[in-house]
Amino acid sequence: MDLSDETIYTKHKDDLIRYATVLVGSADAEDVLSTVVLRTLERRSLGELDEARAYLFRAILNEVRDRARHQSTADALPVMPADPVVLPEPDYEVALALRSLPPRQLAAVYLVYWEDLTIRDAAKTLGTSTGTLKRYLHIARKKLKGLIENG
Amino acid sequence: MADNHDNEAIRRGLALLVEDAPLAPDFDDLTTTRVRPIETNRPKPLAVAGLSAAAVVLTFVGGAIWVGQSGGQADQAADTPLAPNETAATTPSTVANLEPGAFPHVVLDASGWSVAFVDQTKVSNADGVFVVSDVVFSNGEEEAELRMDSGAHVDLDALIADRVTDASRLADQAIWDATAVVVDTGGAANFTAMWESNAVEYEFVALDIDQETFRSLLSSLIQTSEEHWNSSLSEDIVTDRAQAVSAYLEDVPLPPNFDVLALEEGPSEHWYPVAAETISRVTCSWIELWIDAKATGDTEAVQRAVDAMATSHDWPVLDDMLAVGDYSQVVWEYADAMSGDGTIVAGSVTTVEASYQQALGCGS
Repeated sequence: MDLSDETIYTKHKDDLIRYATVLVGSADAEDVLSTVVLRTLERRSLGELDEARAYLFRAILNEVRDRARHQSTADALPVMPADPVVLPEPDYEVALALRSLPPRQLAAVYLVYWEDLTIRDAAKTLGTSTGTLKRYLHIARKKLKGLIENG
Repeated sequence: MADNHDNEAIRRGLALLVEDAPLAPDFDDLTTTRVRPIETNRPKPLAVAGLSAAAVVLTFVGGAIWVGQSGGQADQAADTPLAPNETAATTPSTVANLEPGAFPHVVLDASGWSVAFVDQTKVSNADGVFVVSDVVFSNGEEEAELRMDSGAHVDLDALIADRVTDASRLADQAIWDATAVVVDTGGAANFTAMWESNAVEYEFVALDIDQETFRSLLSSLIQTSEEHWNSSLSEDIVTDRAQAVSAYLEDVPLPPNFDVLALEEGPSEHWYPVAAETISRVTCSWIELWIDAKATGDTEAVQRAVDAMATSHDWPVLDDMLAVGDYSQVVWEYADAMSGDGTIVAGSVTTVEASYQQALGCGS
């Protein structure tokens, strides 16, 4: 076992599992994370990657997009909590709407609004241009806007 | 509604999703938490490597790029991005058959502006599968994006209706042989122009600029020659393929009778698919020699192929590609299998012979 792999993974695992959960739901998040990390380690030490965290973020998104093509949208929606009263309903509606976004748009929203990355850093993490990243955010916000205003 | 309110609402929505997160498995437990075989998820890089000269697709972790011609559409494109893991059987030929040349070469003919990025996506709907893409122009500080779509599903009226629903329609603006509908889509000075010309739908978007600048940029869009297009490309896009291929083949042992010249023909592309196509040709040739040699009992030739592919771990181009996509990993996987028992161990067991063409994009 390569200790540096374990160290790097342990450092980022909480961020990675949260990211995977947002993209694919809690039921599959562990599997997505494990699949991505193991696949990477089959070929490469995490320590050999220039930016292991960003690499794994990209790989998780890639994995999620791959899976999304093989399942219905409904599968990916979060499960309604047993007692919805405990949650502010508008927030839950927004959460549902977020989960209904295509993975790349949702990833962009997550990185900017949750991870507080700059547009440039979020674009770099997703391996895209800042223009495309802005487009993802623009489209996502547009889709969410009605819900938020009605909330 | 204030942007801050929107942002807070989004963060609260994200918080609900995040709070469902399970504990991340410990490093030692990774193998036991993975319940899905790797094989079904592993990269299938033929979408990169299997490109013909005409089908210019770049796939990488996190996105897909199509370079050379341009095209694009907004929401649908983002909804169904051309997947990095598209199957080898469909992606290259599908893209190649979608008449990429139907899109004209469009540049933003203004001082300091160049083509910074081209992002291709595949749109599927009841009418079929279409390729669209976004061209991002940049002057180093600002960016503007042009989406073109010539698919049969183009419905400019619907697109305009969608954009105008919550936006302010401004004065139309003439462009080429058409009239563009210009809208202010709100937020921090976001403008969109939509028009149709010669059965191609165009949507031009710029964010964070004033209307005067937007209109000026819109009027600077011109349909141009391939030469002008090439001169507008960023440095990430290869225009001298011979020079690029030569660089990619540094320290790469070539199979006997390898036709380098065949790699030097083709349109301008982002460097990644050019590199992937180059390495694909080399790797596929070595594997085919290895298979033939095994069949004929030529142990010397078998070893030559094994030794050549073993050096792939030191090919500089694969290290460069690793930062962008997963193709390098697949090459190494096959190199290792050749020096071992010929078994590919990523998930369900297969063999080099049974899987190399699809995995590496051979024969495309």
